[in-house]
Amino acid sequence: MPRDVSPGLRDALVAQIGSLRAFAVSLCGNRDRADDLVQETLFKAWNHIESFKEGTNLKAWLFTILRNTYFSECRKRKREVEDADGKYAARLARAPEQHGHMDMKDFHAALVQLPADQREALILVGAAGFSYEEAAEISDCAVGTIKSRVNRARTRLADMLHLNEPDDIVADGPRKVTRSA
Amino acid sequence: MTADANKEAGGPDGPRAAETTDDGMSPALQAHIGRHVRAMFDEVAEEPVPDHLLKLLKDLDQSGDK
Repeated sequence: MPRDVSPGLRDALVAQIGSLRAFAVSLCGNRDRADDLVQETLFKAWNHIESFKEGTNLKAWLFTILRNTYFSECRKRKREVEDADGKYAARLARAPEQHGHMDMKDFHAALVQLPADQREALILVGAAGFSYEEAAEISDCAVGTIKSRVNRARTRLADMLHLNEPDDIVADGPRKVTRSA
Repeated sequence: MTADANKEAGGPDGPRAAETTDDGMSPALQAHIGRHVRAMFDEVAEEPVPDHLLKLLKDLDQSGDK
């Protein structure tokens, strides 16, 4: 039987739901499925709360549960998932119209086309605020593996979005900032 | 002119273009991608928590009481 979840721990769980949802959406690219993943994560966390050492990183623990749930589901229904994600990606994917401006939709479409392990690494390190070491622990792999996944993810995104020339970046920023200095 | 040539070559500190990552990506491009990844993540993270998830925790809490 699970030990009691203290009100403090319960509040800490609630405080992580937003990040968990964002992580889940980034992983599976589908909001309904993301909420199912979060729900399952919270359920498992609650029922295995005794395996969480208080004072350690709750966020990392929850992210670990979520990604393990996601990847084991993927293995279970691999074909189904690939079809669904493929359709989703195709629906979203529109080649960016022009060099330079990249909107969030283009970016999201490119992100969902990355291999899941690269997407995961990029989100953990680049958005969720984990160190390479923490990300490695969450993904159960070596720190060097995380680093190379992040690098590959960035490179592929840049390729897909035609962001290779430095001019593209300059073109994206200055509109707002140019004269402010 | 020399200054321009210098710039082209990566600025006065030219060789220190080692600012780039292992994969040769410029810090500017890296930061650019980083901003988008974060913006996308934060957009979802900052949404209000759906009621059914809060309700789940409440239900779990109560089921523990008995």
